[in-house]
Amino acid sequence: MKKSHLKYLAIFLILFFAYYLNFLFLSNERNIFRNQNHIKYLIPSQISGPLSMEFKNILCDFLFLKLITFTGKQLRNNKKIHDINYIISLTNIITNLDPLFWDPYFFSCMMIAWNCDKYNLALKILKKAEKNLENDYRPYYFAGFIYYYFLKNQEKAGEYMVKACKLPGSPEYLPFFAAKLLTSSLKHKQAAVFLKYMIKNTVNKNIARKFEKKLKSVNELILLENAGEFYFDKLNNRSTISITHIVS
Amino acid sequence: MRVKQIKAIALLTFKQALGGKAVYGIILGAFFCSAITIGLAGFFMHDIDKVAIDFTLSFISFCSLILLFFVGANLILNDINKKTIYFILSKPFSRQEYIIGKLAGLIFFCTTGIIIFSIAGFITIIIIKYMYSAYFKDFIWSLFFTAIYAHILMVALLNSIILFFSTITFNSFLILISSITTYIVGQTIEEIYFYIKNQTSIIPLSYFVENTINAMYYIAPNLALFDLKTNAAHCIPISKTYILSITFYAVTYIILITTASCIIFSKRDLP
Repeated sequence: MKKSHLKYLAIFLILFFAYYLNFLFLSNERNIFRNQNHIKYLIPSQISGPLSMEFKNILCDFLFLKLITFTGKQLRNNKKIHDINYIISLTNIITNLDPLFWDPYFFSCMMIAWNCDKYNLALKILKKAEKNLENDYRPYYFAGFIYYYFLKNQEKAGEYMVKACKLPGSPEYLPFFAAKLLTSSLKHKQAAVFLKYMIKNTVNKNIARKFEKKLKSVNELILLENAGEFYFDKLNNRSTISITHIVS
Repeated sequence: MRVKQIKAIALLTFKQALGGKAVYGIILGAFFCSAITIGLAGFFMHDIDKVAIDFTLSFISFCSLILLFFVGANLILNDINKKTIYFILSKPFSRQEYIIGKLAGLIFFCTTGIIIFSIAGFITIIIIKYMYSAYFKDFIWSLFFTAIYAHILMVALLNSIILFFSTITFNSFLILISSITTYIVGQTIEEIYFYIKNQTSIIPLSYFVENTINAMYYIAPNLALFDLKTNAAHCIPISKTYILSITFYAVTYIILITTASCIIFSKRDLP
């Protein structure tokens, strides 16, 4: 290698090293600057919609990425989400721009329910999803999940799961789970009606047979329930009744 | 008007446009954008198909618009600056044939560009579909291509508008600004018109503003009609009558504005 080439190589390496050091320093400064000047501004969908012209969908995708990174950063730094209003407003803007985009509904409602314990706010987001995604089982399914898991309301959870089952694409296990929820909340008659509906509308014979089996056990529970009611009615009327009479 | 002459000018315009170095950069950019889409799709949870189509169609739109504005705005000006226009018009070509030929060449060039971008987009979606096949159950290719067809119609309409402004002024900056303004107005006018129509009872608008918006709604091309990205992304079917009606709208608007361009250009003194 010529001497002049070595000289250029040395200059290039020194410059590269200087650039690298400067880059590290600048990255640090930039992070401080961003944290000091962080403005959580949001442009309402009435303005951002027309402004984005034919690029509304891509704007939604970028706003959703912003929502994910914002929430992730809050969870990483504080272990908890402090700014729920920002998340809700951003979700509203995204879902106003593209009402059929499921991810923001799902992400926000789950984040709010799991990390902020604001179940009613999460259900409010899912209500909007129910309205916009008419034929989608997921809003009902997750609303049912919030009622079941967080609010411990099996009756309401069962109602939502029943609604979810009737929509296309719902998982195969869901009708059984819905029936279980209804029976455990002592809504046996509702469970039977629902299972009859599912048997009538299920094309797959194997699954229909499983529904019939479940219906049979629910019918037995109804029989017991009726007998129980009959017994308590008689008990209230102070007349005596034998247990063999109830069972028969 | 002779088809042979128009064809010759169209071919010349296509070759001229293809000669610009920027074209290759834009095409390279389109492939780069496609590569970005593959990486970004993984950031989403469920609607990966929707996001992939959003990004692909938006990149096709964006790249074709850059191509259109940067190449289209200078086409007649280049002919004037290089004195080619005098050479062409001294031959048996009428000014009308020149304008129609230019438009045909520009439409042909932009359509070729969009087809190249679409191929890049098609490959991108194939790759993402292969990577996340579980999320592409409802995806319909025909809707994707219908959205591209509608975009081609919009670009053709914008071509005629650029050519119209090129006949009014010979200043490239003015042509570019007027064309971009028309594009922005065309994309937003429908939304503004309906928004203001619903708001007038609450916030009364001045007579001038209301009438200007009304006039713009009818005069400016409604480019929002050609935006079928949401349908493609969410697999919402589009009726054949809608596609036919937007095709008819684009064709009539192009004929109307090209006629106006021909009339203006035939009366203009060339510099």
